[in-house]
Amino acid sequence: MIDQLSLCLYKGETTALIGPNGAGKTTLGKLLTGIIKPAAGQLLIFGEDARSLPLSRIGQKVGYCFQNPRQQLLAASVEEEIAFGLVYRGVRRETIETTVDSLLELFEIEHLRRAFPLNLSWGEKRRVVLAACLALNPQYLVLDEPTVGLDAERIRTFNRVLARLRENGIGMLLISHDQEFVRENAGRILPMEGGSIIDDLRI
Amino acid sequence: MTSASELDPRTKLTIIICLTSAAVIISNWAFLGGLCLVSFILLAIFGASPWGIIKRVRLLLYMVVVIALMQSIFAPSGQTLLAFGSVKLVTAGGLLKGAEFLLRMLIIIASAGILSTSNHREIMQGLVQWKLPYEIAFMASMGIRFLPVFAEEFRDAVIAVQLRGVDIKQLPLRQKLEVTASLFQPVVAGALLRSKDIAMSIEMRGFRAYPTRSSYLVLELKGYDYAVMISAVNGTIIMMGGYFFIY
Repeated sequence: MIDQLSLCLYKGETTALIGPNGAGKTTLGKLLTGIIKPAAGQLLIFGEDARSLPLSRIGQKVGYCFQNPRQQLLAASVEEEIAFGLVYRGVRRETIETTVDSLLELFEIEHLRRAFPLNLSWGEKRRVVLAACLALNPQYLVLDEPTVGLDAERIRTFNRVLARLRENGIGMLLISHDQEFVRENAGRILPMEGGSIIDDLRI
Repeated sequence: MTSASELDPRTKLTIIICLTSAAVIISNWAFLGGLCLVSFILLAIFGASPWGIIKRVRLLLYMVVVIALMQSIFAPSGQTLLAFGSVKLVTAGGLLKGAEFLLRMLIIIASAGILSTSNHREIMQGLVQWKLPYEIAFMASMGIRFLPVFAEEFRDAVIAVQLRGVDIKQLPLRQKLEVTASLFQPVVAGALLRSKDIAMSIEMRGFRAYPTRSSYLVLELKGYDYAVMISAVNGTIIMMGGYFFIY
């Protein structure tokens, strides 16, 4: 349970949420994206009360990657998975194709273009979900354990992607146990324990 | 005093067989309405929250309501209530058929709720002690075990769609149907993959679904179990008799 929490996350800043298992990191991440509604208190997402915002509206601004990528895969092929949100938001076909191609290339999954996402390895699923999240061009990203299942080379590639997103002013909340990844990417670290944030460190 | 949820799973299965058999045979909305009410009262008596069950399956119910409406449109009969030119869109008979379908589904949902007050191991043992072959009992119990998994995966899929900025309610009908179909894909594929994992995991722990096997858990029917079973069967026979006498 998260109790007595007052927190402000800034767009353009990368914040890391760290802490032991069961500290409440994922719960807080889900709260911040409106997947879980707070029982009491107020949560504002880009200045709007999360209680009155449908999840689809939040999804247009905030990208969220589940800890388990399998939970987020819906489509029959990798390219459809990446294009999913864009198709139903009425984006032009040519733009969708360009976006999908560039993300397939960025995450080195061009060869999996027509593969069934649920049959992929954990690391491949993770890359597909990240690509699908980024396809929507979110203003803020919440990534729950994004490096789990990625090999060292792919983590380096992913770090480069995150650096580019930061340059474009996209804020991020990284929920991670990977200290090296956190050090590499976060400008602010929030250690959690027992449902509370116990410190607020700026690097 | 024994609470209803502590009844033998075979007693609950008997009640469920009575409820669902009657729901399938009866084709009258008033009788089905009464049966639905009885199912939900029983659900409450068994300690499950009827409202909680409805909330948990509200997405499924939404689809059931859509199917019921479609049934009412595609099976027109009786007085026309709404027409587009010569095409009958809503008829009194069609609406009643849709209502009957909806009530049947509610009875099945309430029955599943009653069954969920026993764990799947007890239900499997109940079926085995009813001399059902172990393989079939095991399959049935695994099916029951998968129900909450299906519900959870369906919920995740809906959240995943919304997080992609897609508001299902706002989509045109064709896209709405496409997205709804895509919700089932991860649920079905996920269930198949998970069953494969479970099969591998239990076999690696030495499990084989042989026709006969000893069991640590042995169920014993008590006097009140027999009383409830006899009452359920008699109640169903009386109701069915009444139904066939009237119609």
